[in-house]
Amino acid sequence: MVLAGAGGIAPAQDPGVELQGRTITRIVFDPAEQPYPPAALEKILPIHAGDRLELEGVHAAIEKLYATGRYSNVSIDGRADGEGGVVLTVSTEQAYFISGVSIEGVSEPPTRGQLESAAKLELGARFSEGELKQATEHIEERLRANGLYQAKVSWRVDRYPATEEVFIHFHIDSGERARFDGIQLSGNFKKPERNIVDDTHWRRGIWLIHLPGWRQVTEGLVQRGVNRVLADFQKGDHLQATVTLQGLHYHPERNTVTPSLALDSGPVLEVRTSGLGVPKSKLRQLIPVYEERTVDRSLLLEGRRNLIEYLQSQGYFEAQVDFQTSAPAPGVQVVDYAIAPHLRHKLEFIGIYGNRYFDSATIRQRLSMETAHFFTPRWGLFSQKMLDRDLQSIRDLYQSNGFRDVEVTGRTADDYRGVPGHLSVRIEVKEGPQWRVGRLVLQGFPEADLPYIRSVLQSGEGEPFSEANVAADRDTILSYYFNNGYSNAAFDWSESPGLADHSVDLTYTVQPGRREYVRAVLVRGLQTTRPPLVQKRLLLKPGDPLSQNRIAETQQKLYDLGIFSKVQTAVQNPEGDEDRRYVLLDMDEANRYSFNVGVGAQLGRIGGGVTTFDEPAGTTGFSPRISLGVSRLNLFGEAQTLSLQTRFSTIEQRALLSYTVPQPFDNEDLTLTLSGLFDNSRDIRTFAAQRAEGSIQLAQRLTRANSLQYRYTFRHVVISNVLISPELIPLFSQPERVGIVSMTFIEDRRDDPLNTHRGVYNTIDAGIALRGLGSEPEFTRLLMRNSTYHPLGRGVVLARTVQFGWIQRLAGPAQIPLAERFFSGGATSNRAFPDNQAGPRDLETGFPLGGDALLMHSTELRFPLIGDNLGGVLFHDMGNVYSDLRTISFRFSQRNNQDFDYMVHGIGFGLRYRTPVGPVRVDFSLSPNPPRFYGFQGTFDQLLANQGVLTNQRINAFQFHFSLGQTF
Amino acid sequence: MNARLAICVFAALAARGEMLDRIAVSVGKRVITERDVLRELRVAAFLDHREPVAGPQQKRAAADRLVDRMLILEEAALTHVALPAESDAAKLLDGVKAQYGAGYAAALARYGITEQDVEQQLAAGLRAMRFSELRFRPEVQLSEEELRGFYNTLAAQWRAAGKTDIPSFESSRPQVEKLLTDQRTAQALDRWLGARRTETEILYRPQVFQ
Repeated sequence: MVLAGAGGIAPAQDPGVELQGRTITRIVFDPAEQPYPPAALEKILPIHAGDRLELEGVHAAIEKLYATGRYSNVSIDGRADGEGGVVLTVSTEQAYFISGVSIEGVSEPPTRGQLESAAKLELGARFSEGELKQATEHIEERLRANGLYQAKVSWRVDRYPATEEVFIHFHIDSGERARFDGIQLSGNFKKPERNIVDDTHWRRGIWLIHLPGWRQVTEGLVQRGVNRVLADFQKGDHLQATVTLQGLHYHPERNTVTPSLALDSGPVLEVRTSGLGVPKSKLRQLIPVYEERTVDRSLLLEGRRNLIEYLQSQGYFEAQVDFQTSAPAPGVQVVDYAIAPHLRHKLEFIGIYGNRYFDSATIRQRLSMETAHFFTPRWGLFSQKMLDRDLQSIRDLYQSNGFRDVEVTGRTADDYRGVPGHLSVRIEVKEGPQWRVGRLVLQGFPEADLPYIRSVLQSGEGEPFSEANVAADRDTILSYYFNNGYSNAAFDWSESPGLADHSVDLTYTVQPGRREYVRAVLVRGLQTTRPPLVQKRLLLKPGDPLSQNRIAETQQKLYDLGIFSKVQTAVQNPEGDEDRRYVLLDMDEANRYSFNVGVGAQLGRIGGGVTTFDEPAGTTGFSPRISLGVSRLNLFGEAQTLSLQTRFSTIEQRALLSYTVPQPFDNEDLTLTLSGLFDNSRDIRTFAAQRAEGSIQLAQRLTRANSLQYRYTFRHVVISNVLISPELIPLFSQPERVGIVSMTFIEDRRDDPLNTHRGVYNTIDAGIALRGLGSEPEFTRLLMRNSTYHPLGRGVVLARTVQFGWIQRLAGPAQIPLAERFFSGGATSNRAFPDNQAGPRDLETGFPLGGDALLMHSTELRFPLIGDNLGGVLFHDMGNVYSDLRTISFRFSQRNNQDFDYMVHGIGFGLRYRTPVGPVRVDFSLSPNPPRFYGFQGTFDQLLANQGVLTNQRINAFQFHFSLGQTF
Repeated sequence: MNARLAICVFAALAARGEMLDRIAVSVGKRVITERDVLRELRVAAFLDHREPVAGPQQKRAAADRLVDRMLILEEAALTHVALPAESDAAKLLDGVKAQYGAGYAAALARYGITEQDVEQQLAAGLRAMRFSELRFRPEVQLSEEELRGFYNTLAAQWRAAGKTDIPSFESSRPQVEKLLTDQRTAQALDRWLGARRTETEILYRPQVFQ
């Protein structure tokens, strides 16, 4: 039954008018199964059994039900019950919400993630069939942009009526990707077409070698091609050049695409300076016409301002700049900035006066201006803009501490102390009175929250008053309510004069709004991962207040497992008026296999004969290296990882198989690792070692900075090619079995482990090898490191580290075997040595023997050199490996060629080039006291027969090291 | 057999009862019901002194007007624009009453509406006008060239209609300026409504407009 007949005259009165005024005897729902229980529906509906029927009430009931968001349609019928009353039937259609989108079958690019984004189906939002058509069109558009013109997109919708969810699966039959077949060029340009085609890289080829045919179309390739053509024009100073992709013309019969580009090279623009030279690269930064690629007066004026600012920062504090444009030839435009630099100045003095509340040191910390010293440019750091910024920064400091009337002025004066060109800056502070909070009235806060709220406010009674503090309080209060389920909490504040002088009474008003709770947490997208693994990490359960913080923490915990490429979170039906909400988690599992291949090389004093006694200190050598790895992630759906990493080089062959169980025993702070290692290496010049090792390690995170590792290691090492006195060979080079338990404490408070600017890094590693643990030699081993990093400003960092190690023999063979001894020196310890060349040496052959104790100290001054990426280092290293703890010495000089227990120093300079994986570094070290020692000239047989010749040798005083990462 | 089926269908319908109201259009979280649409039709017909027709097109047009009103009211509430109250439509209501004279009450009954319905509709019109005035009129900037162009168009229309005493541009400038401003304001409102309709989830229930 409908309210009005199709196309007819409107009825003269509303339907159901004759039922109005009757008593509602019953309200029934169709279907009986509703998203809410009857009690909740009773609360939502504004009409109830027993009420008199009003049609306005019916309207309101429909409105209320729809506003919950849980219904896509609502209608209400009325029927006389035969006893003067009326029975209402509320007919509803359930709404569905998007709980996830999956894309299958796509041949990348585009990636699944790009297509999911293109679909624009928002997690948790209400679903309508109409959106699918739009989503499909958007996906097809992305596919076509990537050359997949023949792709077919189909979809399937899985509905979950109990939780009102839909999960949408798109399946893509990608078809064959189209290729470019040429380029249509139009417009005004003078370059040969062939060059433009080459710029696009759309033809097949490797570097400059052209191959027949064209490449496959991808969106990235198209965009990069257009950008390259444009960049090439700009390189030739055609700054206003335009390159527009007018279209991609598809030819279905050949499955090819012809892009059409409209080009306009525009005039040549030359920007130059007169009066003072400015590097062209700097001009490109300062004059915005390069970035905006257009020339107008406002940009040229901005360029003039930037140029003045730059000149002031270079000491030309009175520099004047003007500009003029000309067109000396058709198609050529010249912008000439005429610079009158005047005298170059040097900022010699910054004085701060009138400050009482803050001392000058506190204020100086906020200044960007700096008088000239070693780490600044010769003329110091000053410009008018810097001065203005610093004055504002001081004002902000005072105002945020209640000095709302503060006045800060700055004055510059030339010829400081009578020296021409020396500049002084005088900063005057008139603090004025400090305003404080008189009374603080809290309105609208639930009584139970007041003690906590008062404890976290910055604008407490008697505290300095500032709007910055009020803003901070606002954030604190709203954050508290948002995280306790009040997603619509609102905050307002007002101030009025206080009773005391210079005091302000504050009123904070909060309207928490309706509190929302978790109805359930719905997890979708798991393929191989076991659901309990995820369930255990959920920080929200039904009935909890809906907290955005807890949702974000849950998301982080799931990411921490390392098995999900994407974890999306949302609240279902976000717009609906309801107080119990479903929280959605939609996850994409990462690829189960990951592979890595690396090619590299080691360059250093690693060369020299392997079977001869030449060059015990090593010669410059080069060792190419290849590494291969494969990992199987999320093994058994339990987030465990099995990984094999291998490395092959001329001095090392290594394979490491490891099995990692994250968070065992449901403890998120633990990681269990079992590993097996085979290593055949010759990184120490004295011997080659073949090592087979198995270990089990439990790592425990104590706090964010501190962690512990408990480890048991069993290894068998066979040593060969030993280049030491034959009589020592039985002592040092027997095959050995070592079983050792050890524990490592790590404290890492560095701001950035790859490129640290501040913080502390401490490690203590202690172990004991006992016969009962399967060890032949019995010994204890201790290795400690303490590193600190101190920022000195302007990107300069003072870093220092000390390392101490001690091995104490307990029982077993008379000497600690070679492979267990400390070998050190080189790029990451004392750079006065080649790698692993520190410490005691064989008295006949001169090859290093390692030691039972180690003490190293390094100090580095790290500073920026050019731009953000190239830095420099001045360093001093000192230390050595010692034969025993008792022989550790700070002595500077070596007593004789058989004395190695002294401290070797190295000073030097290094360069650091910043990369995403840490700085690439080269260090040059000069040692004032490198070790001298006896070497042996002869063969092994001659050595056995005591026939060779002993020679005087020494570690080269000059060493260089090339590697990746900071030294420490 | 057919008779039995007919009886069953009738019985089922009778058991269900009479449709009191249902959703015609949803605008975001809010709804316009079929009863709202019919009342809009009746009031509009009453104000125009014509028979109310409830065909699909008329219902759709009435629903569109209600959607526009809803969007304007929501925006006004968000931007704290003060709009006329229903009582501000009293003068207009007096005019309507005067048109109907003594038959006013009988006419209300004939159309199945109340005086409050009429007052509400008149107030809605006032609000839309006020909203446009405040929101869009200040944005309208007319150049001399545009004014002259518009005057020329008007003059051509007058000439085509056979009018001979066409006023000069200078003498009719205030009226020309007002007319063009009104036109531009109305266009700005339409553009704004178009944009709001795109941003808002507006779903028409087809079964209501059949």
